[in-house]
Order: sequence, then C-alpha cells, then structure tokens
Amino acid sequence: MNVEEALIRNGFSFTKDKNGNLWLDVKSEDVTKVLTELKTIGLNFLSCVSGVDCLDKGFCLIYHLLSLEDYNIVVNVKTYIGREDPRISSVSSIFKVAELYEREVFDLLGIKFIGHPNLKRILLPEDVPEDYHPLRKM
Amino acid sequence: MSSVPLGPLHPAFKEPINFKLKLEGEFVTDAEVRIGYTHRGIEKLGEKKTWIQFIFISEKICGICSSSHQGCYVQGVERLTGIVPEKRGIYIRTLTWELERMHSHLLWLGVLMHEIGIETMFMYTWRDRERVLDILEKLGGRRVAYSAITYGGARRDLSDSLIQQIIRLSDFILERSKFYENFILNDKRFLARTKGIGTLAKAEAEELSVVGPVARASGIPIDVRKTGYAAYYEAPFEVVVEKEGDVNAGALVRAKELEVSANIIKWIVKNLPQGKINVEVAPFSKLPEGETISRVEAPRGELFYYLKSNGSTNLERIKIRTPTLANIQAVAHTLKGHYLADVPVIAAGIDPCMGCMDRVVTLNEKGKKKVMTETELIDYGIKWYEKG
Repeated sequence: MNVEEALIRNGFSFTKDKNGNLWLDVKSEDVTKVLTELKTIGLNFLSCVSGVDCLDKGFCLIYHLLSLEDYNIVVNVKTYIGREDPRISSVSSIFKVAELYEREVFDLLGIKFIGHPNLKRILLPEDVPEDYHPLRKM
Repeated sequence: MSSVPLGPLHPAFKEPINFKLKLEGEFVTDAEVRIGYTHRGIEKLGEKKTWIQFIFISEKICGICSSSHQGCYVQGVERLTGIVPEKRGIYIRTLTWELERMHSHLLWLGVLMHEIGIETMFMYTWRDRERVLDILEKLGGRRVAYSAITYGGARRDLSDSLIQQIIRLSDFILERSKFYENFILNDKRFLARTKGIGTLAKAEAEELSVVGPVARASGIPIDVRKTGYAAYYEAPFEVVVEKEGDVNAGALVRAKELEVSANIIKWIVKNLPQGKINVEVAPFSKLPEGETISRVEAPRGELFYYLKSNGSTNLERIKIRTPTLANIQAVAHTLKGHYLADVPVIAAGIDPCMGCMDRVVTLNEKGKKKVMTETELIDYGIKWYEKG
C-alpha cells in the first residue's frame, strides 16, 4: 500500500521530512479518533509512544505508526497536552502494545491515560513518591 | 489455583525480570510481567551529556546489541545535521552490525539449549560465538562495547589481514549454521521441548505489534534492513520467514539468519569501497534544531530512537524503544495454557534483553532529599570511606 496516498484519500494533512517520514499534528481530544481511523486505513502497527517535556508548550506525545505492508514510512502523530494535570485518553484498546508504552510515559512524565487497564509504574520502583516523575523538567 | 512469583532472581532467567504466574495445577492460567530491575537512567543522562559524549554512552545500553544502539543513535544525529556519511565508513558499520547479529544469535541459541538442558549444544554455540567475538575485538578493540561506529562512519579501518580473517569466519559460520539447522529440525529432545510450545499465531502477533525474529517466526515478513538504511540498500539478502510461530520456528529463523548475515558480510568485504572512514567534527559543535526518528534492525528486532534537538550541544530528548519491550507482552500472552516447566523456554524464546528494556533515569530528588553536585558527591564519597 502507499501510505501517503491513503492518507490524502482520507483527508489527513501532514508534512514530510527529508527522510520520507510523515508528521501529523492533532488535538489531544482527537487522538483516539485519529488513531482508530489510521488503523482502519492500514497503519496497523504501533512502533512507539514518545513523551517529551516541552516546558511552556506543555507535554508533547508522539505516536509512531507503521504499516506492516509498507515498513518504510513512519507516520508520527503528534499532540500537545497542558502542564496542569496532564490527561489523555488511552489508545490501549486500539493497539494492545500501547499498554506498556503508556505505562512508561506515565512513569517517567506523569501523564495520566484515561481508560488504561493497569496504569502503574513500570520502570521505577513502586515506592517512589507519587508525584515524582524523572523526565519532567519543572 | 495458586500464585507463583518467578524472579526477579531465578536460575531460569539470566537477567532480572519478574513473572507473577497464576497456576491451575501444573498449567499457567495467567501471567503478569514486572520489569525495571536494571533501570539506570540513560535517557535522563542523555539530556545532561553532549551529543558526542552520548555516542559512547549509547552502546552501554545493552551488552549484546551495543553497536546497534550506537549505530541507531549516530544515524539519527546524522539525519539531524543532514551530513552524508562516508561510504567506506557505512560499509564497516554494516559489517559490525552483521557480526553482532551473528554473535547475538549464537548466544541466544546457546541460552535456549541451556534452558532446555542440552548443555553440549550450549558449549558448541558459545565456542563458535567466541570466534565472532575475537573478530569484533580486532575490529573495535573490545569484546563487547566495541565503539566501532562514530559520527559520519566508522572509528577504525579494516586491514587486509582482518578482511581475510572475516572471510574465513563467514565460511565457518555458514558451515556451522547448516549444522544448527539440522539439529533444530531433527533432534528429538529439542523437538519435544520446542515444537508447539509458545505458539504465537500470525493474527496475535500482528495485534501485539511484535518485532524482529519473533514476528518473522510467526509469518510476518518485516525486517527494517529491507527499508535500505546504511549498506543494506545495496547488499542482496532475503528475509527469513517461518509460519509456525513456536519456539522451534524462532530457533530456525535465527539459525537461518546466521547464514544470511555471513553472506552479507562476505558481500560487504568483497565490495568494500575505498576512501575516508569518517567525518571530523568539532568537540563542542551544536546540533541544528529539529526532531527525527531513527530505526535499525537490532538482533532482537526493530530498534527505535526518537531524537529532539533544541539547537544546543545537548539533545533535548532521546527516546529509546527497544525490541524486547515490544515483545515482552507476547511472552505473557503465550505463557497461558502451558506447563510451568515450559516457562523458561518460552521466556527465552523471544531472546529477552532486560538491560536494553529497562535503561533510563538518574534521580533528581525533590522534597526531602538533597540534590548533590558532582564535586559534593565526590567529597561525600571520600569522607564516607575515610570514616569507615
């Protein structure tokens, strides 16, 4: 399948970087909807969920998606969440592997995933203070 | 119904991991994985060090696939700066990756045989692996973290005598991989312990987003090498795929990949271009602002790096997703319905690497505890030793 054509056909706007990977910006409320749509058009493989502390801009979450038929192009879905009580709905019902990746983001950045079946620390010990998240910058 | 904790320290696991198993008699009905026992804070460390310093930290993430990590990181940085690496350097880099894949697969075969109890095969595979390690030592200077890769190419050049040794090694591995394949397909004890054990069907594998040899053993033909990074866009090779999805298929995939790696290595040394091997760079040069992703096929599967730079000497964020993290859920899934005695074999079946999986984070304490600077910490350490 051609990822770019499939995205254009379904009305997604994206930018392409010089390595051929595609970047989509979405609102944090729409992430579940967009990822469900992307999965139905063939991007059926979640490669990674990256969380970044962008200081004043809040937290940035990036979902890196792939298609098993076209393993070359990574589609990066990017969203921003506010600093105050960061929350976003979980995508673990769409991609099962997201369970682990979201737990890691929760552990290191303290972003709460609503609807996650088992949201607790994964890398740090369980007795680390609840409000302590090492990759936060302020 | 009983609950059995397995690990974090258990003779069956070579690295710390914990499984909470629910048993119904001898059968596992539910399994939960707990990881994080070798968490070291490398992602946080990456924010504190300059991007050149991190080249050498990145290979300490994993003791087995060290150059995959280093290569993936360097490839990402090269994409940020937009530099075209030297062709000879790229070929040597690819050669290192393939040698590493051979040593990793041999190591894994040995560990699997050891878990089953076939100690003779364990000795055979590790003996063969020693020969690969000898070559890697000559290539980089060390047996494990060889630092063979650097910005713009490779750190050390190949000599003619080393090339001859590499060719001899490839021939040796080609011959041995036939022996291993034969063993995996025909040995009765091995078949009894692996055939139909830990089966991951294709649909399940797709749903769980597994990567690397685990996916290929389940019939999903994915291999990042086929996307054509480094020298793989020229090197001819086939992706090895099996259908069964059990531990036996996994072993067969890896044994056949030994052969593929040996052939790629022979092709590389035959077609090695002349010229410079790397690009010089000023020690405190700044990276341009931007973000990028980098992927390589590590021995265990797709290794994923996300790099973000804010225009300074340090990277703002280095996110690492290792293949074991993607595959570990498949273990918990496939354990269900198997005997307790098969747990070590299934867990070993995905080639787990806990050092890779856990990585990340030095503590920057808030609240009660004090934050120490480096000199304060050294002084504290000296005083502590003088006291005792």
